[in-house]
Amino acid sequence: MARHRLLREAAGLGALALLLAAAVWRLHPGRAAWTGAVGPGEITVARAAALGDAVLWVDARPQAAYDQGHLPGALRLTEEVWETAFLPLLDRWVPGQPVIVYCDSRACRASHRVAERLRQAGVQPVSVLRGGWAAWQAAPPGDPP
Amino acid sequence: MAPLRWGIGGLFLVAGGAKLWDPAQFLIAVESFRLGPPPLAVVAALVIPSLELVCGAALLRGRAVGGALAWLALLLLLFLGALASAWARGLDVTCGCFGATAHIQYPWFIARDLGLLALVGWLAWGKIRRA
Repeated sequence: MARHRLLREAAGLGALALLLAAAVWRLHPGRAAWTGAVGPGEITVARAAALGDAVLWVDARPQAAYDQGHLPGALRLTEEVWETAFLPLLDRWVPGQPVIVYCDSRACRASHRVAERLRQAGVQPVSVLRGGWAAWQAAPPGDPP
Repeated sequence: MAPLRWGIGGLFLVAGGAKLWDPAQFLIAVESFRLGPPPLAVVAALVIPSLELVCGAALLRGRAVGGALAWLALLLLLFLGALASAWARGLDVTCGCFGATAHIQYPWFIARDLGLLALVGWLAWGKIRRA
């Protein structure tokens, strides 16, 4: 009897948890950051690659990650080094040139914060690379890198 | 026992709620453990905090206590297994605890989860004795 009650309780709580998880999956306003949907201000690896050399890449990862490898010509810009790194980026940027910001992976938020600050500073158009560095590295043969 | 039950319940209610408030951050933590493909990580990033929240609430209310303790014990064993696996593979992982993304110190987090498991076990033992 005790075991049956335990199983009933566990099953009930499990079902509630699954319902809650499903509700978050459907309703959370930030779901684009962790689902397959391309969110506002994002760009896929394929579309970014199609822009070719026209893109100014911005790397929003830690210094150590940047030093290990980064996209061609990418400038490192994070909120921590904004004061020293923003002006050199502005010198490199040609008005109207597409800027794409990336960080580690799909769920990384640093790139979104840097992209928003760039837009507020008048840099347009700015996009965030969907899936970040991990997606670029995992791109199929024939696509970058 | 009630204060301990409330304390454990409140802890997991807050932990689960913080992760569900910003699932993307907990997804970073889950992915950093590299235990499965991305779709599985998304499922884990939603189901684990949902279980924490639901079971935490159950403990606070004193309802379905046995079932809640069973789930929390399973979750803690899962966390301990994931930590041990990541430590053995030399991974630099983030915790995702309470929504934070700080990189973890393995001994501290393993000791913490062992302590929580002991408290959950103590509550379960008390419930079995009273049954």
